Amino acid sequence: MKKIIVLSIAIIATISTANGWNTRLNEGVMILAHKHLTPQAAAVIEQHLGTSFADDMLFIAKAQKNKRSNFSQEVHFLHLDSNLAPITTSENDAYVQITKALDIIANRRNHKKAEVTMALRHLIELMCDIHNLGNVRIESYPLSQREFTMNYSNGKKGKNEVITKLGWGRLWDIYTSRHPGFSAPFWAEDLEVCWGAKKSEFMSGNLNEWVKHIGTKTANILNGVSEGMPLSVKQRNLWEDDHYEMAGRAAYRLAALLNETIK
Amino acid sequence: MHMKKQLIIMFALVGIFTTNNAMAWGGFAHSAITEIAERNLTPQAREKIHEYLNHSLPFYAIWMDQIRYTDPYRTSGRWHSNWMDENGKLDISHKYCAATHTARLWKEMKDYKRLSKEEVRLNLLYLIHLVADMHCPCHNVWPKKSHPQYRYHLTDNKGRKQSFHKYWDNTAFAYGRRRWTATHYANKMATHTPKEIKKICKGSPYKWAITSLPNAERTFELTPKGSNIQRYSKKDRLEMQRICDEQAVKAGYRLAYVMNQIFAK
Repeated sequence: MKKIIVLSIAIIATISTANGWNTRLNEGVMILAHKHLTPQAAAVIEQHLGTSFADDMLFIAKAQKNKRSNFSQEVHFLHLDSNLAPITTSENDAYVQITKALDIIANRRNHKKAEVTMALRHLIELMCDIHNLGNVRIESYPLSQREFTMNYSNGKKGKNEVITKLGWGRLWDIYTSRHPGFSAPFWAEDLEVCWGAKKSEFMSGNLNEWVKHIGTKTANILNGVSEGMPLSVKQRNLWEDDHYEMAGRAAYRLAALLNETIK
Repeated sequence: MHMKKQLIIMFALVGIFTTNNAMAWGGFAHSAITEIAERNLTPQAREKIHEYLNHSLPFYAIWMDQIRYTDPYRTSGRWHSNWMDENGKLDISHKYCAATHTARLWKEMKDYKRLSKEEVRLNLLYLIHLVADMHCPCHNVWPKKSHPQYRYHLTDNKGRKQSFHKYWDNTAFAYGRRRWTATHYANKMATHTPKEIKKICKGSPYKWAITSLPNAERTFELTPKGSNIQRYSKKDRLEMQRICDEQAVKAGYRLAYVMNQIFAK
């Protein structure tokens, strides 16, 4: 019976949720970003997305779930070469689609309203995606090219210890499940409480620099990780700080990108 | 047949755990309690707390659950409940009693400026969780020998044992609230006047634990030994929820009160 339970949990642990962060955190990131938009950028956002963003979150993921997307799951991933520079050979890459979206938004007067709306949705979703450390694929890190599992211990001792297989991507995706009941506005508020003092730092730079930062951070973590390694509760708790730092950065960087692009 | 049964169990488990059930006293209720507390902090307390904790209170709502099986926090893993003696009274001398630890930490924190930053941080994290847990209607432990009537399982339609504790931690609180957020809960439930809140917050952790006992004992009446969790009437489920709400809201106000008292000007 115990084997069945462990096997079940292993299956659960390796089911990859293509959505990444949950909808409320994504929306919370947008709400926080919106708070720091210039009036011009805010006006464009309101024109295309209105004042409530719930329906616009995770648009690509929803379309994929309904089999209405031309993108593969790889579009949610950031693909980097060994120098941590973006690989731009495929349309199914978050960086490629972000830059396309920015181009449409910058030249929005030459595009239909629906195209600009879709570009904004893609930008919001994919900016969140690339800040999810489980969504970064680095050429020189074979482990990052696929979902691999670690042996996560519940921390209990002796016969009460249970080891489950926890997937790399799932590890990062399910941190939000530790905070059930958080609304999107609350996520925005909490991210600002935590990271507001670093707003200027987080907003400085450009997309390529941020991609490099994300790649560096992921590489540093991956350096200490191997397939099948024991993963302690303590380590998982430590990585949670990284997870929410990236969510905070996603919000401020998204605001900076929109402010820079919408002039 | 044996293999088939095992496969059915396996898929059932997969189904249970992949369902997004955010509604658990261990999770959702803690978020709701700390949301209520956060709203009732004085600006002074909020500012001071932020010197030690990066996030807002709800973020740390279940921190104690996350670290309970890690060193050096293992001992604190036993603090989550109030303990009773053979006479059914709160045993404040019990080394694991939640109310006792809450009182101890509160007392320590009255002189927080003498503590190191890490000690203050740790004490805050403990208090955030313990004040909530000590109000949970099923977080009371009676001695098995003297009070066997308070140690039993519930059942379901198939006669399988169901945990009394888990039922009150999760299902009782969550009834009819599938899509609720902590914010929504606080908006709906934490609507007391300042005068009412002041009255709720009177006393000490010991008094709060003692006055929570009637609700704790009522849980055993509402969900008696061996009763089927899938057959409770709507009326009883609402009564269960009323008990949970009464305890959760009080916990929220009292947590804020403790924080405000610690960081008073």
